[in-house]
Amino acid sequence: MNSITEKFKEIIASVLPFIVIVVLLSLFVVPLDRETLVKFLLGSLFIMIGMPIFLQGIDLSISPMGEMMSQALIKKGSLQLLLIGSYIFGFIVTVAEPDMHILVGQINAVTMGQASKTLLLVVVSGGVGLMVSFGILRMLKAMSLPLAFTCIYIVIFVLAFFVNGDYLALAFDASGSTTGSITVPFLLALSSGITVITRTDSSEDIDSFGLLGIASAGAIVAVLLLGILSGNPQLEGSLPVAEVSASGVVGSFLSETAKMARESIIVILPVVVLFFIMNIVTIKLKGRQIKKLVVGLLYTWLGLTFFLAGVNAGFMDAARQLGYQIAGLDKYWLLILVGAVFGIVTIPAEPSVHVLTQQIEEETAGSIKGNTVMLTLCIGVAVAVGLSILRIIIPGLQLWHILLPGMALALLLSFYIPSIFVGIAFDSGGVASGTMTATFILPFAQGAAERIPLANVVTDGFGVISLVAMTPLIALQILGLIYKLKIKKAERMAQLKKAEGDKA
Amino acid sequence: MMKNNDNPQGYSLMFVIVNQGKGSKILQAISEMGICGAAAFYGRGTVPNHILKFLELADVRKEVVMVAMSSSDEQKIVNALIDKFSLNRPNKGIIFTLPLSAVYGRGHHYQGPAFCPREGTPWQAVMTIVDKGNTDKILDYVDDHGFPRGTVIDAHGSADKSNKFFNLMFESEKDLLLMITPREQASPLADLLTDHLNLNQPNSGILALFNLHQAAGITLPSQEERSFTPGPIKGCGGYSAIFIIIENDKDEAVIQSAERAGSTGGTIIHARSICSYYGKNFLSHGVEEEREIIFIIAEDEKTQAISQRVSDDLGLGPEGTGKGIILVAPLCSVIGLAPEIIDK
Repeated sequence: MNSITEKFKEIIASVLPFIVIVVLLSLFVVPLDRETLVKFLLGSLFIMIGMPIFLQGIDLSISPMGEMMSQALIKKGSLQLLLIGSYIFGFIVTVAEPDMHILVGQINAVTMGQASKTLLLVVVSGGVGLMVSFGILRMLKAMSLPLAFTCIYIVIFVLAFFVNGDYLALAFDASGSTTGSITVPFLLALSSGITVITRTDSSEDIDSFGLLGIASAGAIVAVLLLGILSGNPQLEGSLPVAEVSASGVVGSFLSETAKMARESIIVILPVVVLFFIMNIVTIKLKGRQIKKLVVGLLYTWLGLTFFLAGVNAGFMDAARQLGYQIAGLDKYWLLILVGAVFGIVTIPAEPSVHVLTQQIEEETAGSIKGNTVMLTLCIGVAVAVGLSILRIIIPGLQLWHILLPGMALALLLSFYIPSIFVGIAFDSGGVASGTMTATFILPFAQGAAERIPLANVVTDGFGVISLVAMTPLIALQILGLIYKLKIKKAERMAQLKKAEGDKA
Repeated sequence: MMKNNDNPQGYSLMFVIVNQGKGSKILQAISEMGICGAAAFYGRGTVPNHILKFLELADVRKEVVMVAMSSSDEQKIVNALIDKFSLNRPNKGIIFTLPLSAVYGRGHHYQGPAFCPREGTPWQAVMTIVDKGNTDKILDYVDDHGFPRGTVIDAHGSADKSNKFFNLMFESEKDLLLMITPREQASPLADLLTDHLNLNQPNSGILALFNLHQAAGITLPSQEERSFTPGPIKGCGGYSAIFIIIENDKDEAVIQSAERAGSTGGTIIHARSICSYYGKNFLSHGVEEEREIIFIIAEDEKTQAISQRVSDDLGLGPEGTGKGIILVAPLCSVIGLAPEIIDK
């Protein structure tokens, strides 16, 4: 029994419910055509192979590399160096993120090409980079997390006032695009690297979570600013929608695998180059340790390729068909229910979620269980998908009708719960809105929107990711509240017991 | 309420090392047996397999559970855990206990004889604290010489105050290697590590030997693979190990008051703990809270001063309000302590 067989077991157990639900739906409710079903099953096989290898690779390479990089920076003891360094880290991982390229393409299209894609990419990545430096500075200065998030979101709300509702959806979706499969473990490792070696003079502990949440807020600010500067663009119905090239089951998987193999290299490469430059200058690892990293990087690349190829070639068609056909049954409650169930079962199939939950267990020495966090996340995302479908069914329901009170509640809650949960909640928002949301939940919602008469495929499709990123903030903070109350109660019980003991 | 030296049989410290995921079950089982204050933390071990090692897949994540108990309960609890978790079957996990010479906190105040019991203890534990990064090489080296690999626990050393940035202090990352061997193997293993790591030089690491009451579940390499001759059994070193289990965030306060009482630093392990009356199940898990374990090695004479000081400063005495417990275990031998301690 070693770490990889353990991971295989864990992932198969996590992905199985998702596969079973889709197959059952196909058998009893809405039959998928044979090719789509075969593609879906093959895609599932790909992710069951890819994800454990990917996660093993992250453990061996990206996580230790991120930790060493932030530690090397902080050990130099220079504030400028630290801020510039973390800016570069944030910038470079965002530039390499494939979801970011799709987002930039969309902004370029809706703003009628006023700014070139490259410029847009630089601006948004720059926004993320700035926020990463801010996030790291916040950790070192021990600035309170609720305060930091409140400030950032006040800026976002003020900016949001100047753009129209559809563009707002695009901006909030950007927060999901920044937190891809490499960005999540890398940013988590950067912050944990700092918490491992530092200790404040005061008894105040450093919050190890929250950096991801702050970084993805950076993308929202940048996209909103771009919108305002380019004159509040109206969304047109001519958005580029990613199409899967259909050339048979085998053909599409082969071409998708080749494409993803290239894309994965592009995602991993910047971090690797940056690390090895730093290794020559300050970190100075050699021999055995370098070999471990290289093997780990190979696993990361291989696993990511399989995972991305699986979801891209296998899931999109199935999800779109399911959405379209279930919407056609004229039972809207069923559509909402199925959406919510998909929300629950896709979360355990998202690699970033496993990275986050493992990090949580490690940072808290297991006192907050990864499975508890994952379960809460599932409930939150189920609500998000349910609300998204509701928004498609009811044309008058605007995104900001849900987003604004939701965010306000999330910020309010953050002042009343243990700060570790605030960090976990805001981080998990970006983590939940990852690859599985983009390749399964989003096409499902779009498929439904195609069928429902009053719905608009383009505008209703946007905003799904925003909601998936928002509800976990509330769900996990409620978990934090329950946790706090439980501990208080336990302490009271302990005191009672002690008092009784003293009497006796 | 316990009184001074109310327990003639003394106390024992039990360690259980199992695969990841079982830690909480063991915590739960221990707390159901009415014993409070068990602490669990993560470690890693390795599978001795060359192909897996080449593929960098040989690491196994482990959990270590540590708990103090009255020696009169020890046998009962050890047997119950062995039965429940099949610890006597290969690869299910290991369990071992060592005698404690003092316990403070949680209403206890026990001060037993500070000697290293020699009788009836066929096992020894070798605990080594080294800088992180060298650990894999050390494990390989130990493995090459036919000794069983151990469990590696992530820890950090107390801060170097000369190096400050903002209001932060840097802690050096440490690894704590825990290896269990039959008594006749312990000294050769200690010698091997001392030579390999230059432990006689200051600041290169610390090695401590504990005598164990009992141990189970350990698989040893066969006799032919061992390439050493049993060395002489080392005597009592005149040193003790202090384990302080305390609430999260209090590690700094503990280290400070220990330093005021003459300690030269400590190693901190991040852990979690559960108590039977700490709420019922919540989402199928008991409410587990974060803890820190601070591990300090000191001379026997200083041990009592340090324990007393920490107990007073953090309110761990019978009247105090603090939560935590201090456990003192006699060491058979220690190598690599900072010279100012050795000189005195």
